[in-house]
Amino acid sequence: MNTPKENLNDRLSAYLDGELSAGESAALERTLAVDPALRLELEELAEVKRMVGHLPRHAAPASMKLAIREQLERRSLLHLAEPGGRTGRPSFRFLRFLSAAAAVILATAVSITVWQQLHPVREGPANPTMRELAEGNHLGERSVAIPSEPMSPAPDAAAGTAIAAADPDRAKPGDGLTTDDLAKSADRVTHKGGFEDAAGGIPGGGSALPAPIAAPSSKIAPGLAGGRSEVRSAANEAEKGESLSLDERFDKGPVTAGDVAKLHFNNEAVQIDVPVNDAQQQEKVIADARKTIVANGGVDIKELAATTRLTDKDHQFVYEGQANRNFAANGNQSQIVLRGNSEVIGKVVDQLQKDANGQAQLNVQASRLRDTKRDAVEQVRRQSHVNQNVDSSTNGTLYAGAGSVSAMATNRPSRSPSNSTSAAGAGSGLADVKAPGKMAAPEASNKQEGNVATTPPPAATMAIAPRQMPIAPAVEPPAMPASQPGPERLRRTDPENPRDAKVLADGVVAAKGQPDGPGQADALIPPTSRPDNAPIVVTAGPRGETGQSQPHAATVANAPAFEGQQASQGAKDVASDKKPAPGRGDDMLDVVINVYVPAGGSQGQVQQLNLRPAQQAAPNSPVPPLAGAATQAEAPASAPAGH
Amino acid sequence: MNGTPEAASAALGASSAAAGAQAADLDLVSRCRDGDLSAFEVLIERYQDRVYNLVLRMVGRHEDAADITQEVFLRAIEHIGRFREKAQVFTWLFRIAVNLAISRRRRDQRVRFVSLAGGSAGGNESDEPQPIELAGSREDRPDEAAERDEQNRRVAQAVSELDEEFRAVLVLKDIEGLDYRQIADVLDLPLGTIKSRLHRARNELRVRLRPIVSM
Repeated sequence: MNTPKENLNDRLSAYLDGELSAGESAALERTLAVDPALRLELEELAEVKRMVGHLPRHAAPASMKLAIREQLERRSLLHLAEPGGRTGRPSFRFLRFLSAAAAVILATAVSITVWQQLHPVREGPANPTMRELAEGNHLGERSVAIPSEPMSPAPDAAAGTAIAAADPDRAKPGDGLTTDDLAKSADRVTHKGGFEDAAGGIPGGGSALPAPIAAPSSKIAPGLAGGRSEVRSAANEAEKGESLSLDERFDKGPVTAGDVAKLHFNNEAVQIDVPVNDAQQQEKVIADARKTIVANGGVDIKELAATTRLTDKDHQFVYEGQANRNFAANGNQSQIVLRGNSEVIGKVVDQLQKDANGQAQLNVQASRLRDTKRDAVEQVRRQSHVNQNVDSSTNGTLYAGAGSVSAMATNRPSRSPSNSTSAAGAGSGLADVKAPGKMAAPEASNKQEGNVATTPPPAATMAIAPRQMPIAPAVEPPAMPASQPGPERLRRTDPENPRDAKVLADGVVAAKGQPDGPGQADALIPPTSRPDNAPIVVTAGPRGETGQSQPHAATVANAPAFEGQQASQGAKDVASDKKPAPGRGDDMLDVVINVYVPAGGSQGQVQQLNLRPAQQAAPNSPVPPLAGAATQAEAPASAPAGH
Repeated sequence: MNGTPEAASAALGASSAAAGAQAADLDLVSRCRDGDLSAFEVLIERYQDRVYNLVLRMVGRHEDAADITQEVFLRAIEHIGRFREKAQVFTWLFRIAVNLAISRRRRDQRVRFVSLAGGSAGGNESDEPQPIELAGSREDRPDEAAERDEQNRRVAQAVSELDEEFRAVLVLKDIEGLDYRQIADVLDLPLGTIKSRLHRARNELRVRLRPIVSM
């Protein structure tokens, strides 16, 4: 209870503000007349009020409206990307949910690793599982339906984690590991391509795969164990060889057609799943895609056929993995592996969309770099002129969800010989967490660049700060000067910070509207010239009439220095309409295009592609040398499913 | 109380102007609800500076203020359907802004970020860049401008050190010029609480700033 004196004092402010009634004012004035101390206090309060009122006013940044518009568009896309397209806030609950899923994934991966350490099952490179886990795109993937007509969305892997945790029966057979499997066998978990190719065996050494593992009674869902996880026995692993990414495989030397027949190549950054009605349509899709690739500077199939190898100067290549036709569970299936720049990929996607009547589905691997995902999305957006429902949050969530996760994203190394970075650095997130120095360490070819911070940030920073990695000089683009991460960058991984979230969420700018129109992001920031784990800002303005990039200047301005520089470089490219030359490794992205007849018929929904292998192994002999595109287009139709 | 006819006339004029602005705002809100984003952009243009300034005084850092201001408008459009037309648009925006600012401030107090490059990333108003117009727009002598800058810096610092609940009331009243009822609406507090908090806030500032207040 206030004393009368306190009440009186309290009224001084109200008196100053004219908020007292006439009677109260009169009473107070009478008191003031006889109380100098109170008068002094009133004067001082008045002075305080005056001083506060004279504090300079600050105008909102000029970019505020634009930034809000961008956020609004992005959020609206996020809404659309969510099941049901609910209209409420996309909410950070979703982000938190995915963050929690990422944490569960991490914990599970660690558990598996510990388990494997205790039960060594094979000789070979020391415990590659973590890395495989990291590179196996198991952190979850977001299926992004490109078509304007909604189709059944592929389950979000991370969501699947929780689903499986809550209700194991809901997990689909083949979606992941079975805990029983893990317990019963001295298996290894590899997290590579979703397609268990049935060819079995490394070239020349193959034996049939064992029968597929029975549908599990309990599962680790895709997001947890990797939607494309496989359980293999050690023996099988030895027989089968490895499930490698393209980069890993190319690090081992030239890739032959036979290799492709034996290996999984569907753990790349982007998968495009193209359900088709039948073999005829399948061949058309394949042929068209290949024509498109070649027409846009891709390697001629004939050339490939002549060499029967994929050159290690593979800035751009295309290959049809015949071995991946052997998926009884999923019908006849073909695969095209493409590494290309935005132009090629975008046009291929365009073509695929046409052929697949808008049913092509872009799956972006979340465990890959969010930059990669961003690139992929951006490429598609730029080139394919489709109004995508892009949920860019997945990577951002994973990135933002835990500092430990965020710190591990690494750049896909360039395949350029002159810019050869370590394949070990490719998307090796979890391993990076476990052994950051190891994973971040460049190989010999990269060591000369030195100065790679391999020490994780102090715990106090929540391991958020990106490493200061000098940007590897690209083949042609000027090397971007490394910049010091400023304090603000340390704050960038708070998913609830809208600005952080914006950056974390790949910087994907809303894909609605006309391509190249105002507000659209046009620049690709070359992944290979990006500092390790660098936050990305998709920026650089529209390819407007002036060719300038004003609209996104704010985005750039909001970004730390080197982001702006990166973006500016991209902007320059855009402004000058500079297109990356095919074959340049600057913005290359590995894409796997799976063309298949969905199980259950052409009208069925797109199946998850983590299928069990057919029981019958494919022939051990290498795939016949590739003929020309036309020949290839005709041949596969005869390849029976189940081989 | 100001009871002069001029003051009454001015108040009346201000009142009618405010009513007109409120009507215009409600029209914009209505259009927003109908999906007219251009109307929303008008709202942004109309209130972004006030919201930004309010938030800046609440959180003390420009970058945070920009973030929060952005979020304020995003939340506003997302929840535009919940807007009660009895309320004023700007008080509604202010309410969102204050809540977000307080949340941010509390979170920042829980989580400290340490710069690898050295120094604190915590930041406060003393770190804020001086507004461009501060020195250049007035025809003061350099020494006067410097003195005023220093005073403003100290006042801003003192304001930033107030408890959130006091600071919010103070900023809304003395910087944004809301009346008590509007402040009560923004903060969803009784008038008596507003009066009390405001006085305490000013009194605390008076103590903190005594060296310059009593000059």
